[in-house]
Amino acid sequence: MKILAIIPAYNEEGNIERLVNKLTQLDIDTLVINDCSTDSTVQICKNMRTNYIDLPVNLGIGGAVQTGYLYASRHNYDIAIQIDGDGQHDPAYIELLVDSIINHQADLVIGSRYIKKEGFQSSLMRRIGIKHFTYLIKMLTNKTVTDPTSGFRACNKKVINFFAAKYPVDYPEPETIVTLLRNNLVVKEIPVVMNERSNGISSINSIKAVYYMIKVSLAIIIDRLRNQDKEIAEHV
Amino acid sequence: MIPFNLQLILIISNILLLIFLLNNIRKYKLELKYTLLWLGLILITFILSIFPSVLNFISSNIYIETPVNALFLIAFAVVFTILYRFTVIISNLTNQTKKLTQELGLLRNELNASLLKKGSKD
Repeated sequence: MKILAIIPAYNEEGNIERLVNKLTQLDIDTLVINDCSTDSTVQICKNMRTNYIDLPVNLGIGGAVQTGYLYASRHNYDIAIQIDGDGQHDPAYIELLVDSIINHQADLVIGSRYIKKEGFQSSLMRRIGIKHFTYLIKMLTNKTVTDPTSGFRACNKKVINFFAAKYPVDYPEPETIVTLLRNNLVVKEIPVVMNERSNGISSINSIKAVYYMIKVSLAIIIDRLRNQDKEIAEHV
Repeated sequence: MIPFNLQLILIISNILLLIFLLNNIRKYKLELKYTLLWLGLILITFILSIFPSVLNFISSNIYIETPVNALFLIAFAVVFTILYRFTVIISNLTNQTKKLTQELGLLRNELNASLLKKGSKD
């Protein structure tokens, strides 16, 4: 069973080394996607001799993560794990994420911080935003996803190949969940505890928040209008 | 007030444009990110065509003779905004393409150099 951890990183010089060290203790391959960082992220990757892709142009989170899925698809990985480079996600949960995939319980497993509600719960404004997406997804697909914006996820080959072909450019997580649900794939959540990001600043500030909410809501609604059961078959 | 016929034309053409845009996003032909401004334009004209009194308010306040002209003014402003956004986007794309091409050229050069090195060793 080939497993790849995809780590999108933009200016994560303070966090990336610790994360990669933790990941190498697990029996999985790692791939850091440096999304044109302006700090020494790429230098750290070089020094650590870790497997990394240094993107020459800043693609944003969607494009960076998709590069990882492309790599996973091309190198025939069975499972891909997406884990943020900012130290929010604890690699200790990877085993649990992967287990649900191996046992064929789900095509995509999301690490959710809102099942047990332990650890870092994010700011009130963000929680409201996330709740909004939970309701919207529930309304459109009749499935409850408690943490639709979580970037801590694992998926099987079917989803890897699909993501390699189609992945939203920015703020991809909620939209991709709807895409998969609409194609009758199984999305499951398991409880995880997240940390507040250790170093650096988050990529979404308050000015962008309104834009983010409108854009992602529209993207989800438009995605629901797309044909069902057709795309996954096309790309596998 | 603007003529009722114009109001009707605005509303109908707005709905048609909205369907056209949404359908193209749905088919992955348009990127939502770059279509948002168009959707904003639709929203604004939609509001104006349903509540033309806004136009009366604007025209009487900045001494435009007829409300229809205020409509044109707003339309121009929105279209200029969209055009400006596109100029920014095109500039970004140009820079990215240049960077990518340079990166590819450098990679080719490195590959050739290492191939030559390997050849001379054999």
